[in-house]
Amino acid sequence: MSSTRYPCLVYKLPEDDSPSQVFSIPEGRSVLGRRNDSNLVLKDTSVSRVHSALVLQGDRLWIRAESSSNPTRVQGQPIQETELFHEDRIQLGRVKLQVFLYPEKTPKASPAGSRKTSKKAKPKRKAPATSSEKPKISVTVPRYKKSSTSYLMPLVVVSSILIGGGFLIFLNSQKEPSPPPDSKVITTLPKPTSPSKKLNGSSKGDKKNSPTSLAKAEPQQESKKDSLATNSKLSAESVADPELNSEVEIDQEGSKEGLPKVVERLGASSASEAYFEGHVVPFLSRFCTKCHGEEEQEGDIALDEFPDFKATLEDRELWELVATQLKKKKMPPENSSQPSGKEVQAIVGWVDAAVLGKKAGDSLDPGRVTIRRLNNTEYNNTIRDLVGLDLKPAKDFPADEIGYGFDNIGDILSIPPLLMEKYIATAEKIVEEVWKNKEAKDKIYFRQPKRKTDYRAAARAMLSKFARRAFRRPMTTSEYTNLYKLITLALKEEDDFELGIKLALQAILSSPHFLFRVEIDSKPDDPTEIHAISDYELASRLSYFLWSTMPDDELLDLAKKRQLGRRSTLRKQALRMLQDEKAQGMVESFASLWLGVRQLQNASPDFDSYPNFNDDLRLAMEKETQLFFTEIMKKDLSVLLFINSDFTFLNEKLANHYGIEGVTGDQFRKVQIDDGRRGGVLTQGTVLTITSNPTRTSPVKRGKWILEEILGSPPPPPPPGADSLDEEKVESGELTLRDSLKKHREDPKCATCHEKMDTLGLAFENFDGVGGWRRFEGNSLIDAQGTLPDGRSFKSVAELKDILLKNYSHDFCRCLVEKMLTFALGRGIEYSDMDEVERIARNLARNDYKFSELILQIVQSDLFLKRRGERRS
Amino acid sequence: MNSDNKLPRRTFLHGVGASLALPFLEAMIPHNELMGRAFGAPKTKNPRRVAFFYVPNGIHMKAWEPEKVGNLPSRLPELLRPLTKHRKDMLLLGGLTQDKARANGDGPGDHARAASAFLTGAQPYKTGGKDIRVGVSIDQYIAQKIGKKTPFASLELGTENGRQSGSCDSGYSCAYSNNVSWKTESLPMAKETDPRQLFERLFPSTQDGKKSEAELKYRRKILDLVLGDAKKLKGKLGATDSRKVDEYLEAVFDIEDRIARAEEEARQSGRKRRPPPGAKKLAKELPDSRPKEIGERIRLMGDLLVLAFQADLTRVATFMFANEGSNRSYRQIGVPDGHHDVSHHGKKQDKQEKIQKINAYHMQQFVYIVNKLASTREGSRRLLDNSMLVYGSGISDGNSHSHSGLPILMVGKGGGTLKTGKYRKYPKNTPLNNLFLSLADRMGAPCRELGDSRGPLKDLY
Repeated sequence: MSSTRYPCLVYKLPEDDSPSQVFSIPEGRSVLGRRNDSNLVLKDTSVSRVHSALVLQGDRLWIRAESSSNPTRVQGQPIQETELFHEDRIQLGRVKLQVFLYPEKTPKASPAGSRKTSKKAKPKRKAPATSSEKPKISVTVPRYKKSSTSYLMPLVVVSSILIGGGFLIFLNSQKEPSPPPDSKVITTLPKPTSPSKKLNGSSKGDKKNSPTSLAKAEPQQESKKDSLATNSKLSAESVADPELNSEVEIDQEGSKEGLPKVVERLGASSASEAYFEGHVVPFLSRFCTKCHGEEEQEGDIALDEFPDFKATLEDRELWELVATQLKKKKMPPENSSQPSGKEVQAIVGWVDAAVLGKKAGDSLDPGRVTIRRLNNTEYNNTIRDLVGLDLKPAKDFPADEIGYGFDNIGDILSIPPLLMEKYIATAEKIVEEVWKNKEAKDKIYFRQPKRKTDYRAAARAMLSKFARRAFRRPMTTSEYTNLYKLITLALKEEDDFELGIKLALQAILSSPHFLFRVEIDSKPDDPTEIHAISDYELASRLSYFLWSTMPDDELLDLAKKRQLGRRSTLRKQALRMLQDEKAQGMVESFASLWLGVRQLQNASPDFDSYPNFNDDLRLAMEKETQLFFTEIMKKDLSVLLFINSDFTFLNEKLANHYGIEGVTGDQFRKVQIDDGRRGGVLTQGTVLTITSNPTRTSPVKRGKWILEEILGSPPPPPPPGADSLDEEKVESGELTLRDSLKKHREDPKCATCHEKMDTLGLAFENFDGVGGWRRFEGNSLIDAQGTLPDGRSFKSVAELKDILLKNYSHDFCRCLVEKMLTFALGRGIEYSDMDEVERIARNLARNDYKFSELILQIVQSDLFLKRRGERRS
Repeated sequence: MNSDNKLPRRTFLHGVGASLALPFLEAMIPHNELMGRAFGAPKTKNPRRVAFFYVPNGIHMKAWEPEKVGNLPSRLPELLRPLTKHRKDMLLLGGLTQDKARANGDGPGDHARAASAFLTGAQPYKTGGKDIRVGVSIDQYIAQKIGKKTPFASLELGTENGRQSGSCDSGYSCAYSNNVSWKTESLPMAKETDPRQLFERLFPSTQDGKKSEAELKYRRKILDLVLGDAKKLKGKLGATDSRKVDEYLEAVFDIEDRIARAEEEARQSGRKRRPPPGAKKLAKELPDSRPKEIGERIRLMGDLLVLAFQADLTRVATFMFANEGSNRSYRQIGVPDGHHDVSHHGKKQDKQEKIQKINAYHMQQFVYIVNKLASTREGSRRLLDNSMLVYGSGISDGNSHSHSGLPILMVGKGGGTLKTGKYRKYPKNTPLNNLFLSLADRMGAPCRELGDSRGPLKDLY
């Protein structure tokens, strides 16, 4: 029975409770790794897909590291390339292997044999105490013909029938040279210690999920090539194993304890690793690795390989992403098997505790926004309210960069020298403009001193009033002292007090305290130092959030009295602010960026394709979207109206464009609509135009827009090498856009994301590239029906909107909360904000989806009211 | 001046001459060239200028590359043909690569990387907002070395303000695709996109221009005061906030510097810098706001650039003809489709023709600027002779987003330091940044290392 061919490697997989196994090293090159087409397949997450390569030439053997990140160790040392000698020990990830070049030194009978005989060969690992005697089963690997189509012909030896937990050995017969006909591999299998118990134990938790998971997974796989299908199916079974195995191990060690105790006994760090291997990895294998693993790494995420546990834990970004997707139920995709709520909780809990180091009772992390300079809109509005003249000086400033969809993000707003130059020059110009306008000047220069002894008092009165509003907090004494130096200078040079005041005003308008929205921490470098922001800081947060401008006197007065932070005051003020004219600031900032009005300003539909599109129509579209948002805000309507509504705002031009009759004149008015076409933002000209190409519609862009801006689940970017549409055929009329997209989806790489994107987008095909209604595309009647991946079908865009309202309102609310919160806080939404987002979204739903509730929930959230020191990077 | 935010300039110069660990390429370069002595700093009388022109979405390379290396043929490839009369001023460089524009593990986002890596040779950090980071660009490196000699250390020109939507390219902030010029690794240099604005900046109106001594004093005092505020504020902030305030500080220092230089110049020459003769005429022609047509926008900005070089207001400039990934439609030349859309031509002929048309249109605007520089005299030479214009893209073929074999064209003789009239082809994967080292050297701003450079480029002279 022992016909092991030398040289060979003896190894054992840590997850496996089977004894050591033998790999006969073929002449030439062979690959060791986790990939199924490796010559030696090592199914362990710590091993890289292609980990190392062996080269055997005659009686000499070399090994080379093939993974740059995951070391190959020989005799404990990481190596690049080295010759191997008899009894050398190799370690790949957690898997230990030993080299045997000659038969005489190897354990007799079976090199793979029991612990007794091959202590050296056995990786250090507690083996089940009870399983000393094991039945030996030899498996002969038959030779197979080299396939011409695929060189991956994994030969799978399954012996799981024989043992309880079951394990798989994927052995791949080497391609070249082919193995000799007598090549055999001896595998010794353990006697199942307590198979029934194990099976029972494991089936408790898994019965519900595993079978469904397999059943659902199968159809997809069957569509693939046979060999692959077999392969995946098997791995699908094997993925459930590690979990079984880990339980098995605990059982075998004579313990019936639940995991926490095991964790305790193993000590903190290794305990986590054991937990990781025993619970997290199996979960990932069951639900994630099919698309984020060996075969595919969708979205560039792979969850099948964790060579270094410490590094694994340090990859916060990855785990936050995993937890986020699970929490939001974005993953696994809706057409595949779903983990139970409890299972998700367990993984999220692990991320929180092990990766993020959160403890129970930790208070909410309010995050930290980077100091924000006023963006151009805020600068314009602030100047308007500060000096009472709508000068719009920022129109000459360089454009603000955008991050996370908005232009008020602290991290992105920078001060390049060009901008600073403009700030300085503009400060001077603004003061000049004010002095030209008597009314404006009198408000600021209200105390003309009669004699020299009045100078100080007059300057103080005027400057402190101005600075309080410009700095959005009281001026300090030292600030005043410094500003007065400018007056002294003007007096000295030209004996001109008024000039001195003008200079001081220029200095205020150039000051960092005016240009930045400053929030001060007592301990800026201590991330654990969480504190409520000051009342003045809160006044600014409120006013720049709801108005995109400085706080008014009412807010500043409340801040002075330290009353603004009170819940009832806060509520009252927020509601007052929403009704104020200045709330238009939110429409121009938030709504215009969210709903694409700013993009529309740069859109350039092709004249030949859309001859009726011109700047008037563009402006009308913008206006519709802005008025629509304003209506929901001012009348405090349901935010679900963004998805569908029975009204919109039109003037004659836009109504004609939409094909709606009875609207005359340039004036916009609220119009009731019941044509089943318009209503909500999705069918407004703005959104339909910005999601089109200049010469045609783009269902993909439309679908993507809905996923990003309405459902909050942006698709990952296309994989490299993804083909674009066959547009020539679309343009020549040979294929409709729908058919062309369908063809495109035949590529499985594209299908997952495009199925949803295209279906959503195609529902809007009755709207042309500038939002006009049409029934034909070329000569074909447009077909706007579709079936979403969740199985729900619709016949028209109206039905799609109904589906969105009925089944995706929570996704929409969460998405809207995220966007609004991003805008309110001036920073990206992070993992630590997620629970709060969820809470606010639920409260919004509980309160009839009222717009005001969205705002009130946000301004009363700790995310808005507090901040903390910075985490050192 | 606070030093924490300064570039580690000293580290670049540190250990000059200690060529122990020099990579292979550098060791091949004659010692004096490496040290920046070969061409030395240019004389102040005929200062050298450098300008980098960027076009997005790649180039139709079949109409760009000549068949043979060596002397440029009299019949140039189609896209270069409008430059025929400047053939002797041209140096076409093939085979250069901007490796840092490649994914290198960061996934999609080639457009964002193409622009931000183009002049930095650094891998942009993939972020939609937080921790924006790439590297210092070569124009800014040079500007920081020699910028004090002119009123403006550098000019950053463009035609588009940037897309008004979230991330511009697969998770990269728009700052990456909108900017080729980076002052620090986290501070993109915003572009001037309005010719009228640029004009007023370069040639302040008479009222501004004739500031009295007292007025200059006031302005300096104001700057002093706000600098004091900013420094005090910085002391109270955490690291990230403090970096933002640094941007403010640095910018105010720059302005202070400029005022001081203007004063010094006025004191020495007894008069103020006068706008060159063309300025007045141009002032009358300039529209009040940006012209709609992009070609006109480019040409007007080009006029101003030439004036700025002529008046020695600056010696360093970058000019993005459009932002990377721009989907502008060029219906004025019969391409109504979006530029980015057609750049993914899928090897289809009609699309390739369209992309070539757009390429040709950009080239036509560039030729306008070249002609202008060639017809402007400076001493006994043409302004073009003292200039080095680099024209190119961070993408070669737009369809595959390739960042190797980039289209890089130089025009101008660099004060006689470039052997022009040639087509050179460099070995695969030669860093584009090698060229930049060579140019920095010629600008009197020797640079040993920038981004992924491996040493100056050979065969430029």
